[in-house]
Amino acid sequence: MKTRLESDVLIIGAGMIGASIARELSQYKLQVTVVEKSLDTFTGQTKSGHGFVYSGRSLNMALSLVLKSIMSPGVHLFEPDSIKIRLGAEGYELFEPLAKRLDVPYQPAKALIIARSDEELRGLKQLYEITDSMGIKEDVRWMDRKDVLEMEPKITKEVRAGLYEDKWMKSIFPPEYALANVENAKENGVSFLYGAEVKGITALNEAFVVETEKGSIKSRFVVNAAGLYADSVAEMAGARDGWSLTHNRTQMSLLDKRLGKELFRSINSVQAVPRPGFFEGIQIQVHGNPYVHCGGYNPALHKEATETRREWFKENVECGQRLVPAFSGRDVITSFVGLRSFNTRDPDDHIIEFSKRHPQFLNAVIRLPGFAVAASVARYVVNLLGNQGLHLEENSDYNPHRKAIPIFSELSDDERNALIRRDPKYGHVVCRCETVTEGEIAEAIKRGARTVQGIQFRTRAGMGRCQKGFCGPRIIEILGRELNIPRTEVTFKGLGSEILKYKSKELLS
Amino acid sequence: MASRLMDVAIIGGGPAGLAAAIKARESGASDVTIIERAETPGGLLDQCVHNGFGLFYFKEDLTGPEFAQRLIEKAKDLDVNLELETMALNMTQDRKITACNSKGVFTIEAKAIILAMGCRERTREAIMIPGTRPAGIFTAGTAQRYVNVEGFVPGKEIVILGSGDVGMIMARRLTLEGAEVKAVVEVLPYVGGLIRNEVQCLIDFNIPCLLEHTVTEVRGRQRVEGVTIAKVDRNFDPIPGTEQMLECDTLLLSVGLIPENELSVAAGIELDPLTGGPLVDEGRQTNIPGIFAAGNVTHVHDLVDNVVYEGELAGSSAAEYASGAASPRKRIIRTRPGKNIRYVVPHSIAADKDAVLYLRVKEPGERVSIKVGDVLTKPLRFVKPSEMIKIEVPARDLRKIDERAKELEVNCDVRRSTG
Amino acid sequence: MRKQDIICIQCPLGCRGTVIVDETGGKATLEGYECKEGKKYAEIEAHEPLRVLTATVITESKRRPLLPVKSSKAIPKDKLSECVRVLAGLKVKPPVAAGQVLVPDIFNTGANIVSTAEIVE
Repeated sequence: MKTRLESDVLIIGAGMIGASIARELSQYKLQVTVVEKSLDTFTGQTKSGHGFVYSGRSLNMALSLVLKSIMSPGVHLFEPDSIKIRLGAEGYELFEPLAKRLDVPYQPAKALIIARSDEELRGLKQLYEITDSMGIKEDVRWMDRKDVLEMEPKITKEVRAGLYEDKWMKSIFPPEYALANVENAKENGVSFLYGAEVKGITALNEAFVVETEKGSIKSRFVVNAAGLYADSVAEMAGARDGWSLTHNRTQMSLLDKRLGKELFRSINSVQAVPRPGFFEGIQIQVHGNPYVHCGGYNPALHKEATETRREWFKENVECGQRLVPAFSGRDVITSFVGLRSFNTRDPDDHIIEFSKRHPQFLNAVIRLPGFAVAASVARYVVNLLGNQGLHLEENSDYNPHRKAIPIFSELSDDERNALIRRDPKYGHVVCRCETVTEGEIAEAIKRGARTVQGIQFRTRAGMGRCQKGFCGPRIIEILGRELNIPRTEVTFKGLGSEILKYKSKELLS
Repeated sequence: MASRLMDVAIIGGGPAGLAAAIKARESGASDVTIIERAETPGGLLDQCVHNGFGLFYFKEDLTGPEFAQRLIEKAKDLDVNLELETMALNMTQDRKITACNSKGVFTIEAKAIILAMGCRERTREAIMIPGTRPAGIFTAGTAQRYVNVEGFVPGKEIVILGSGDVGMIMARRLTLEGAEVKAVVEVLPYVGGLIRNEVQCLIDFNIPCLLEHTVTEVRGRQRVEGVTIAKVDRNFDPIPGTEQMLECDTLLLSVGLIPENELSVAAGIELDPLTGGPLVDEGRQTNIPGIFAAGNVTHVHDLVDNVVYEGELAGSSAAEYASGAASPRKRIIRTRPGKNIRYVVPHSIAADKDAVLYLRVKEPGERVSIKVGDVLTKPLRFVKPSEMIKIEVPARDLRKIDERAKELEVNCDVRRSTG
Repeated sequence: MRKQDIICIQCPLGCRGTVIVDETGGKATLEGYECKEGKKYAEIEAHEPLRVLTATVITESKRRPLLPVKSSKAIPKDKLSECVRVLAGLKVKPPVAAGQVLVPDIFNTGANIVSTAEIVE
C-alpha cells in the first residue's frame, strides 16, 4: 500500500504517551496521524507498568528520592521546579477529571510502606522527612507495628513500622486509560494506523516524510513517542542529539483474583522501603486483581528481552511472602516481565524537546512514572508545538467525553438486565474467571481489538485463573466471526502468532 | 426472569450433573434443573472421541459422545430442565443461585443443590515454565476441543508435557491428524496414565516418552519455535548440563486438573486441600445441608463410570433432602488417609450402611494390601497414583468397628515397592 | 523364530514380557507374563495387533463441523494410517444418525466405520 498521507502532526507510537498527545491535539483543527508498529495500543510498556498514577509530590515519589539518595548521596533530592516534578504534580491534578470524562475506572491507592529491619526503619524515617520538604507531611501517617498489624493483620509479622498515605496516588489498569485516549482522539478526528512500523524518516525543508509499513506520510511536525524505541526512531531522523536509551526489567506475577479480597482489609498497596536495584510491592489493581511486583532491576540487553526466568519466579514469591505471607506459589496465575527505559543524558528525567538538527521533530521520551504525567506531558507538548508555529485553532466539534465498554462483572443485577435487554449478547458469559460477556467482546472488536490480546486488554477476558482454557476457543470464534476472517487467521498478538495453524485433515492431504 | 423455587438445581451438565439429574428425577424430585455454561450438555465427553467409556456402567465399550448421548436422552425422557449457555454467577449458603444467559440475570432457589462443575486444567503459567510468551501453548483438553469438535489442528510439530491419559490420547489423536509428536515429556520416573494408553498412543506410533524430564524454557517470539527440556533430580529440579533443545511449533500441557470450586468457596463450602474439592459424606453432602457435590468437582476421576456412580449418589441424596424425607445419619465415622494414601472420599460415612470408598495412593506399589481400619483388607497386584481405587466396605464389616471409634484410617501396606 | 517384546495392557501391572513366535507354525513361547489373561493377550498381540480406530470426519454442518466416528471392531494396527487418510477425504452431509455406516468393510478388515453421534442439521 503506497499511499501518501499528509498531516500537520505525525505521532510515532500509540502507547500511553502517544495516545494522550493525540487526544490533546484533537481539540484543535488539525490533521493528526498516529502510527504504531504493533497491532494495538498497549503492546509496549503501557501494558506492564504498575498502574500507579502518582503525583510528583507524593509518598511514592519520595520513595524514588530515597533511592536516589542512597545511590548518589549528597545530591539535592527534591527539586520542585524540575520538569519531572512539575509535570508529575500537574499530571496528577489533571488525571481525575480526565479519567471521569473518559470513563476510565480508577480508585484511590491506599498505600502502606513498611520497614522490617533497622536499615529499613532508617529509610522509613528518611521518607517521612522528605514528605516534609514536599509539603505533604500531614497527608502521611506514621504507624508503629501494633497499628500496622491492627489495620492489616496479614502483613508480615516482621513489620516494625509503616507509613500510610491515601491522597496522592491512584490505581488504574493502564491499557484502559491509554485505549480511552485513543478512542476519544479517534472520535475527534485523529487517524490511527496500526501495524505501521516506521522504516525511515526523511527531513524536507519544512516537513518530514515518514515511511511506514502501511505507506508514507508527509507531516510538518513529528512527535516521537515511540517508548522503548524512541532512540531508534530519533536516529532514523537524525534527531537523536547524543542520547540513547538503556533498559532494565523486573518480573511480576498476577495472583488469583480471590486473593484481591483476602490479602488486605482496607489498603490496596503495600511496599517495602526500597533498596537500590530492587522493588518490593504487592498491589490490588482497580479491578481487584492482585499483582506481586518483587524483583531486581535486572539488566535488559535488548528491547524485546521480556522472557520470564525460573529464578525470578521464586524471587517474586519469596519476596512477596516477606511482605504478606498469606499466599503461595500455587496462587500465581501468570508472570510477565516489564521493561523500563532511561535516557543516557539524564536518567533521572524526561526528554521533551525539539531536536537540535530538526526543530520540527519533537522527542517525547518519558521515564517512569509515566502514567501520571501522560496528561500533563500531552499539554506541555502541545504548548511546545504551538510555540514552534503549529496553529492551534479550536475544534468546535470537539467532544471531550468517551464512554467505556460496560463492565458486566462490576454491575448490579438490575444494570445487567438493562444491558441484556439492549443486547442479549451481554447475557452470554464467555470468560468465566473474570465474568466477561460476549457483548463486551463484540464491543471491544468494534473499538479496534483485532487479536486475542486486544480482547484481553480491553475486557480482561482471558486474564483469569484458567488463562483462556475455557474462553479461548470462544474468543477465537467471535473474532473470526466479527472480523470475517477464517479462524486460522486469528492471532494472539499479531502476524506470526496465529493460534490455530491448520484446519482439520489439512496435514493429511 | 423472576426468582424460581425448585426441588433440585444442578450446576454443571456434564456426566456428573446429568447422572445426578436422572437419579434425582427417578428418586421422586419433580422439578430438576441443570445450569450448563456450554452450548450443549455432556461436558467434556463430546470431545473425547476415543473409546473406553462405560465398560463398567453400561458393560459396553463406548466413545465419549455415545456415553454422553445415553445420559442426555435419559435426562430428556425424564423431563430434566436444561438451561444451556447459562452461567452460574454466584451461590449462597441458603441455596440461592444467581445465573445469567441471553434472556437475563435470574435467581433460582432450590431445596437442594448439586455442584457438578468439574475441573479446569493447570496452565503453563501455574507451573511457571520460563521463557517467552508466544502463541502455540495449549492445555491438552483445550487442544482436544479444537481437534475433535471445532475442526482445527493447532500445529504440526508437537511436544507434550505430561504423560497422563489426556496427554497420551492427544499424542495419538494429533498423529492421526497428520502432526508429528516429537516427544512426551514426563517429570516422574513412570508414565502417568494407563498402560493401555502408553502402548496404544505412544509405543504404537513410535513417540518417544522421556521420563524424569521436564520443559525448562519456551522459545519463540510470536509462535512457539522450540522448547528446552532437561533431566530432573529427585526434587524435580532440572539438572544443569542435561538440557536439550527440541524444535516444535506447539507445546501441549497435560499437567494436572484442578476442581473448579470458586462458587463453592464463595458460599462457604469447606474444601479438602488434598482433593481440591468439598468435604463430603457418603451421600455426597457438603458441610452445608442441602448442598451436594459429585464428579470431578469433588476429586479428579479417571473413569467416567465412577463419575456417574457418584452423580447418582448425590442425585438420590439431594432428592431425598428436597422431599424432607432424609433420615438422620447414624454412627458417623470420619475417614482418614493413612500410610501411602493421598486421600479418601467420602470424608465421612455412616457405619450402619454399606460404604464405597474411593482413594488414591501417593506412591506406586506392587502386591499391596489396602487396609480399611482393621475391618477389611483388599490385596491389589499393582497400584499407582493415577489410577483411582474403589473399595466396597459392607455394613457388616463396618459394624466390627469399635463403638467409641470416630475415625477410620485407610492404609496401603506396600509389600514390594517398585523402582 | 521371531522375538517380540509385548507389554500386557490387561491390568495396571503392565507385565513387560516377550513372545517368541515360531514361524514354522509351532506354538509360541511366552516369557514374563504373570497370569493367563496376560499370556492370551500377548499371544494375540504378537500374532496380529488389532486396534479400534476412533477419529473424526468433516461434515457440512455449521453447528457440528466434525462427526466422531469409530470402527465397528478392532482392525489391524498397520491399517490405521491408511484408514485416517481415507476418512480425511470424506465430507458428510447432515442429517447423520448415530451408528450410521459411513464406510462399509474398510480395507477388507470386516469392520465398518460408523458414526458415534447424531447430527440433525
